[in-house]
Amino acid sequence: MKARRSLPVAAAQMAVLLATLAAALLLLLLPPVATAPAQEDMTTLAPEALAPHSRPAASFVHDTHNEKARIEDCGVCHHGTTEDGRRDPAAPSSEGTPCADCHAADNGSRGKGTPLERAYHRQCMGCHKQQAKGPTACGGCHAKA
Amino acid sequence: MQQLYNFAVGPLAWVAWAVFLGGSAWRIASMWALARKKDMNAVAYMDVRFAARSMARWATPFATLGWRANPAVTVATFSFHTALVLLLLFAPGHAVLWDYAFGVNVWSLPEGIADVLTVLVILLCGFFAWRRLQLPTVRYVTRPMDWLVLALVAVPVATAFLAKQQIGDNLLMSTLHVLSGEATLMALPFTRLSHALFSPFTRAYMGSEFGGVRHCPDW
Repeated sequence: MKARRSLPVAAAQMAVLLATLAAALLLLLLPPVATAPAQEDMTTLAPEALAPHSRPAASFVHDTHNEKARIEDCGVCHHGTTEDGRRDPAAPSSEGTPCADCHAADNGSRGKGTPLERAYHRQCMGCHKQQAKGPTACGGCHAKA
Repeated sequence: MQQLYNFAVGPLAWVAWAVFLGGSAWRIASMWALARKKDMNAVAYMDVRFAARSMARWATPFATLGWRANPAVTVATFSFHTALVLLLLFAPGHAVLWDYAFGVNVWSLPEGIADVLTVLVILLCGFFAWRRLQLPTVRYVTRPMDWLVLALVAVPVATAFLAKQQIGDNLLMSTLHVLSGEATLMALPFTRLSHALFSPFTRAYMGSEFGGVRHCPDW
């Protein structure tokens, strides 16, 4: 009797586990969630240099943000650099120059300077933390459309 | 909530790592001192070769009689631990935090794979909970501590899923994810999660006892 009872228990466990694993595998077959491409200028930050984008584009409405944050000096974000490429608040600001022109897209690059993704994250999250205003969690900026 | 999140990923993260590392060092040191005091024979018989042999066997699915006895649990436990460790070390969101805070570029899992592993861990937590509730032999040895450690894994992973998929209030889910993850990190040395620290020693002990004293395999 005991031997007959133990087999169904093992089989039941296997059945539950297989159902569990099948559920996880089904997810692989689902089509990936498409993210809306940025249609208008300056409503999102999704630099081509970082494509393919793995998260939804960071929402950023340029004028609204700067009004709300009371940023009047372009150089706060479009910072200038010293001759050897270091960030320099005193240098002329750099608006019009894409960030990717100086910041390498490859995060693994060991070259000079801050890579592009890190530069964005540090610029935005760093200021948001410093000012104790604005989102710092992933989904706060990379919100699904 | 935003300030709580900033506090959780900032100062509290340092506290959590300090408690985890300090607590782990203290637990291993005090256990080692206890072993030397109460079980010097076992310490004297410790043998690297037998220990490594036992670890290799038990780290391989179905390489031991124990792993063959219950295939469902073997598949579940290996999948669960592998997925969990991969996510802890290589979740894309974790990699961004290493990069942001320390300028360290860590390899990370593709988003789709990380999502599947996350769901897998949640479902396997459900499987383990089902066993504790439904199987008499498992229910009999289940203590409140077992539910606590299951929750300490399930809550951070479930909130990670909700935060990543942006289901529910995103800031709340992100905050709960970080806070519960830090609770788990701090609890690790002081709960049954400490098997993460002690399992190599358990295997070293069993391997050496069976190899050097009983002269038979421990698998």
